[in-house]
Amino acid sequence: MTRFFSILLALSAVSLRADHTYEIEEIPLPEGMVPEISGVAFTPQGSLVVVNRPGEVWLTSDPAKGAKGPWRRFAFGLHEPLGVLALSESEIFVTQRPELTRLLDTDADGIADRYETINDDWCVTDNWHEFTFGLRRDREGNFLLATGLPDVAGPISTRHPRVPLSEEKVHREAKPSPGLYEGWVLRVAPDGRMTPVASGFRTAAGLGLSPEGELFVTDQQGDYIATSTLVHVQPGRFYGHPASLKWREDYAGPLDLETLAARRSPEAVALPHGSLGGSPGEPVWDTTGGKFGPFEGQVFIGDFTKLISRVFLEKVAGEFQGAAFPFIRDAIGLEAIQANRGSDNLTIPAGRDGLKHFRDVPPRSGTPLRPGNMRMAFAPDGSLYVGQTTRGWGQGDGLQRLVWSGRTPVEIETMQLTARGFRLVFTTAMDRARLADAKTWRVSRFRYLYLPSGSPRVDESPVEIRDLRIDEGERRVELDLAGLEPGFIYEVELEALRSADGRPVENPLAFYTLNRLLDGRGFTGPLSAPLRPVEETREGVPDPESGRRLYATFCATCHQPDGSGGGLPGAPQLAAANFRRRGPDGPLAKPDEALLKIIAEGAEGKPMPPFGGVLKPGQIRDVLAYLRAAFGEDDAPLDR
Amino acid sequence: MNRHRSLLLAALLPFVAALSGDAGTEADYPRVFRTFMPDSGPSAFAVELTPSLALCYDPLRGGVGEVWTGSVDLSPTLRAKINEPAKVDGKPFYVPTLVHPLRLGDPSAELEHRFKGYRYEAGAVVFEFTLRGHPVSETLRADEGGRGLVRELAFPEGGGPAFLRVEKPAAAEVRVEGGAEVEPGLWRFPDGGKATVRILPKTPAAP
Repeated sequence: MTRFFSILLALSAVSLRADHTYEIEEIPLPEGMVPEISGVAFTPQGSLVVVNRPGEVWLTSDPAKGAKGPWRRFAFGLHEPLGVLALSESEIFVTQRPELTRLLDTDADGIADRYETINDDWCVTDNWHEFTFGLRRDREGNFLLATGLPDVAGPISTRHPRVPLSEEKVHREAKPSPGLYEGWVLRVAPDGRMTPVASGFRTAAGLGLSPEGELFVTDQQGDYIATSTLVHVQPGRFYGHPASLKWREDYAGPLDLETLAARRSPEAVALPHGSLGGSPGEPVWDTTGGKFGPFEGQVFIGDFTKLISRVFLEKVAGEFQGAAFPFIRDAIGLEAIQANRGSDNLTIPAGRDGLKHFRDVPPRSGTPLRPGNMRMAFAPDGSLYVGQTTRGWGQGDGLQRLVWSGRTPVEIETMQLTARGFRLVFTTAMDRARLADAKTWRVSRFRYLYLPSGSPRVDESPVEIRDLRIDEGERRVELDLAGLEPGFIYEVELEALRSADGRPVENPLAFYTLNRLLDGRGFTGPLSAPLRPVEETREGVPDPESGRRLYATFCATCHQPDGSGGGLPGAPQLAAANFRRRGPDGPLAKPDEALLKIIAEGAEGKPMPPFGGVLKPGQIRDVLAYLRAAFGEDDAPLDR
Repeated sequence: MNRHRSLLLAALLPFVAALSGDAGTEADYPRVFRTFMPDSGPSAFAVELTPSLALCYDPLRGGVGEVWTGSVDLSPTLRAKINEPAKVDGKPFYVPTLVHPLRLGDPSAELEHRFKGYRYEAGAVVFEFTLRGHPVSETLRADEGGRGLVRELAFPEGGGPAFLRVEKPAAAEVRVEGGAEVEPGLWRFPDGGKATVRILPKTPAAP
């Protein structure tokens, strides 16, 4: 009987697997390896190399065997390596916090015995947020890496810097660049010489090279970077965050926002905050020759949230732009979103807006995707290895891989710009009647603003479809849109669409970043102001219930569900305000205007970050309404 | 601390212990960890020469820093989003105050100091750096008794004489070989020469 049930269970599992076009597999790690995976690579011979946050490098020549494979620890004691590149099993390069390092096994015992500093021309302090990201190597053998900005929510040590620090602000940046070349993409030649390539990065956590050798990085949403991005890096350009500009040779002093906006180069593709995650990691190109499905040549980007996105790039008027789609997203559940207490670091509004921006597509069974998907690499067999680390931001670490089942997923394969709209190509033949039905299509557009606080979506509006043409074969659709304009992100939703054989679109959502039209015209309007006033929510009346949900998502992690504040997790010396504290010095004794400003722009010199880039003004008023209602002075005194 | 975070920490604790608290066998030493060290420049080194002898090596301060009988606790560097420096787990007997005490050519001229890496040798770790472009190596090992630190510096030919300011803190006995003391605390070594500095705790280490 037991055997019968076992067989039944196995058949059920097979059946479940058969429903998936991509399966997520756990890669068991060897005993003793801290599973905070911060770098994944393969040697030219196919051995898997992983690095972890505590600074170890591990190798296995047979990754398919998981923990039972021939793992060995190749190196240890590195300072938070966040990138790895393996030339062989005896020569491996890593980025550490302060340097690019070559690890060599010179005595052929399988263990690195030389740790050579290749370059450390940039400068770090000991701030918790000063990461060094990478690592890629171009065709000329140059190494490519990126440096992140520190965060004033933690101390920035000025002890013994390698070169003098600079505390000068370029504008009103919350994240400074005190150390040389912080916030830059850097190139290190094979002989060890470093060249600063491009500036304006906030947290460029992932670098990738296209098959043609073009360098792209992801940057993460926050001050000045309104939403996370995929940037095509070109020498000398500035990509938005002003702090790093002071290290340019031509820097002559602080700049105003208008000048910064004029100098800023746009991202190739925006990854709308919430809908496509919050903190993207490494972009990797599918060069598997079809082993990973129908997306050869496209880009996959892991995200800190339980998401992997897909990006289709095209060159328009000489510059890259394109479309982004969700690819794999864990079915966290709508209920979990509603109840989100911040532990999953979704950084999306709970409630109605949360439902809008975070759909469960596709609903998955089997092994769930973890959060912390910051590092990825394609294996020689065409599977995609995903390294995960979440320390302090969420829960879940490890190594998983995505394997294509061989079954074609129903997806929007590409979204290309045309003269009057977009051309969508699907991976398979679609249901012609649904394709032709205007109700199937929801097209809208929005913008982000270039502001010190970041920006929510503005100038949102539906877009009218003027004409829709379906090619024979039902795979290709041409959409003509009313008023196609550059400077907007166009969103297409296709939830009701089905394939010709009745399957739903796995990820019926696309965002095209329309920087330029085919004729090269770009946006000429204001970059830091909306074209029309930001809509007030609920006729301008603050909603404490909406504020309660927002508080649970964004505020409770530091201020606690009961408002009592206290030391931040991992940094008890930094305290969040205690809303229960009464009296003239209590945080809620401040007038509404001051509190709204603090929530939107952050508190100078305190760990309170700005939320103006995530929450709309109406939502910020909702939060304040909740603070007043839940912890305000109207009730009896709480704590002194 | 919420329940999830407690569980996470509990799950990670054995790994953290493996990195910092596990003494390992004698064959596992020396071992070097690049990390945030107290009173150091960013990204210094915690060096454990034996299970009971450790030091801070800080390239940005100019080499050997604090030396103590004991080990290094790395767990404060690995806990959360915002971390703290590693902890000295033991009794310091050598706490230098000078910055960049090694000079080439002119004892008063501070030279560009660039760190070049390190390598493991039998029972020792060798740090490499350049002073004004001249390569210098410093080999660190435990003395025969395992209680004290032996520093062996190799100077380049053509860099001129080397000058090393040597401090003699109350808790340590410091002996210098290979050069001449040209003024109190300032030792001179010939061009291309070598220096050996032995630093021993004056009082027996606690068991």
